[in-house]
Amino acid sequence: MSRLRILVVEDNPYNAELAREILGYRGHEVVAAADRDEFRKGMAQGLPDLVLMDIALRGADGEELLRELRENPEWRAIRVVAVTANAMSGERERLLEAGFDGYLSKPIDPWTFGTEVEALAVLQRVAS
Amino acid sequence: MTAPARSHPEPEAGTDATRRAERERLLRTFGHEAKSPLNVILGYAGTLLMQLPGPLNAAQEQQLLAVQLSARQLLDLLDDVLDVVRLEVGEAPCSLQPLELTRAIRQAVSSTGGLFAERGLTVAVEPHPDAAVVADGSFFQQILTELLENAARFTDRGGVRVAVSPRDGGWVLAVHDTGLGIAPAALGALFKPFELVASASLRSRQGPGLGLYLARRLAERMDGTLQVQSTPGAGSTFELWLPAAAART
Repeated sequence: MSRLRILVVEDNPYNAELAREILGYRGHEVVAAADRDEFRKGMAQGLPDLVLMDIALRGADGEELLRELRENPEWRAIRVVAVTANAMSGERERLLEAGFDGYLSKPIDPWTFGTEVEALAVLQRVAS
Repeated sequence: MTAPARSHPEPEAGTDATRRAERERLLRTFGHEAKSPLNVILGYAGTLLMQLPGPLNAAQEQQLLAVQLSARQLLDLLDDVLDVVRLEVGEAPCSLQPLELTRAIRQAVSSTGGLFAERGLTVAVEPHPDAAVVADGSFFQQILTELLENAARFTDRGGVRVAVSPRDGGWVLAVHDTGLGIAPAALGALFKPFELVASASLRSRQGPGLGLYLARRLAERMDGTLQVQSTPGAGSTFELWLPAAAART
């Protein structure tokens, strides 16, 4: 698998670091963003292959950031995966309907997280 | 959600809706806030056990496995508590639709199969080709998964048989196990929250939980029932009854 640039939007620094540990071990570049400003900064530094978006961020909800991304012609095609701890039934369908390209639930499984993320990034390449 | 206008013709309904939205927001926020640290605990226990940062000695591995197991138990309990609260306040979204039993059973069996293999137990499914019920698909999976996990937990030898048969305008899905069984006097406590049968041998397997209580509440939410019959030493049978799909169309 070629090296991916992955933007992790996550307000808990330990969780962001955990994603970096797992994905970094697999050779990917992880950029962490804790809020809207850092998200914009991360996007400006170089477009990611994939965005992992926590959907209950303080201040800026992940769904709002998704809308902002989809409204920007340069960002529009980037694949965005929702990562959520809300296990309520119907949540997955709701998020996919809202425009996320994929869904991962929290807690993540560290054994499978890396390959799941890579699979979601590969899907993007086939689609685009 | 926006607050109802002051001139709203039905202020009562608006207030209820606002209150419901606020309760739902609280539940979601609580779930998210509680799971975020669990994600950190389970995640780093995982990366350490995968030895990503470096090799572990045997004692370190044992201790981390205990951390991981305990965090998973806490996560299961949290999920159950959140489900119970949603059911109690009537906010668990329930979408009743025709459900083909054979396929739904295979799905639950395949997701819990590892548990049986780990314990050297067999799982047999005796489906009925015509069986279709009216149910919420995810509630159904939750109930059957609980029954299968429960059966695996309390069975040392033999295995579990899942059988389907028609009864009273619906279908009965029976989960038979060859486990410890439960004394008749203790059967009533089985479906009460945090009241696992007070037997030392049972208690040693898992602390009291909410699983069967939740399963019964979910069955009732779908106009169904969940019953148990048991013979100590010979095993137990949990019967989930749900209305037939044809009866509603």
